Amino acid sequence: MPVNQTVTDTTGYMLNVVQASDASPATIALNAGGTGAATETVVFIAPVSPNESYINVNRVTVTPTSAITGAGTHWNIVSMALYKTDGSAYATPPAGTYTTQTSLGKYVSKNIATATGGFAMKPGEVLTIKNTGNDSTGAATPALVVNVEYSIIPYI
Amino acid sequence: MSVDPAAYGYEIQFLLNAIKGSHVSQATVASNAGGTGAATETIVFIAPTESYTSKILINRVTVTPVSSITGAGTHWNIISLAQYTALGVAYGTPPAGTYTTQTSLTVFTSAQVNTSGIVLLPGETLTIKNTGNDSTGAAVPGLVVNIEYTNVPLI
Repeated sequence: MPVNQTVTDTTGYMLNVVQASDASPATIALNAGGTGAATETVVFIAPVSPNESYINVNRVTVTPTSAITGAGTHWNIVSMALYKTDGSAYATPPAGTYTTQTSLGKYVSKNIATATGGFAMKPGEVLTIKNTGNDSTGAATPALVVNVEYSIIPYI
Repeated sequence: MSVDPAAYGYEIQFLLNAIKGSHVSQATVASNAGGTGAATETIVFIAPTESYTSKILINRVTVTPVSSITGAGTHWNIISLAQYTALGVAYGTPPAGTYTTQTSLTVFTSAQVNTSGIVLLPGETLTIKNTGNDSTGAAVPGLVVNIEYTNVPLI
């Protein structure tokens, strides 16, 4: 029985969607009151392979190295930013945030990328994480591990 | 039953392309003025040791500054790679390629360091450090080092 080439193509495409993850430490500076420069940490750079068309980021999780006790009075907002290969930022960052008003146990992970299906990155683009807002005081935030789960989408 | 050889071709292609990854790490490159003193060296990648992996092929090593580097002809550093065996012995010939801070690099843009592919055996270590400069050297901001690699399976 000959193998149907069309079916093989489809299977090959599906199997070639490579999934991987990359964890890196990040620091969320207090940046009290939203003034001053927010400390920004690069957490992922989309690989540049000759046979890929783009990267789909499926999940971006933050995992505190010590427990965060949510408090309604003082907080930080942890957000993502996306940069093109020329260093310029996309006007619309990836959707989703984590606000430290919500408790998060040590080594418990929370997905902050809330867009359905994740979001796309072109080869060489840079994903960062930073504090983009807080109340007038802000809150000390423990070191976070940021894990990026992604799929490499090949040319077909 | 006959099987179209092209179908096997796709399967082989799948195996060869099966595992790819990208890994970022933060590195500090000390000024090491005048080339004296110990160069600060940062481990940026350790080759995984899965049982099905024969070697790791690193396609690209890039450096991305967290604040802009303004290239200057007077004072500079040369940022290089080094490779160590699983027993910690440095290779006599390090991976080819450098980035010299005489070349400007805007924040969040990347420069490729390696000029050819790098082969690591499972458990081997790749580092980055300052391997040369003028008599003064130059302050270098924090660098993000990104490793793009492929696990080459045993076949």
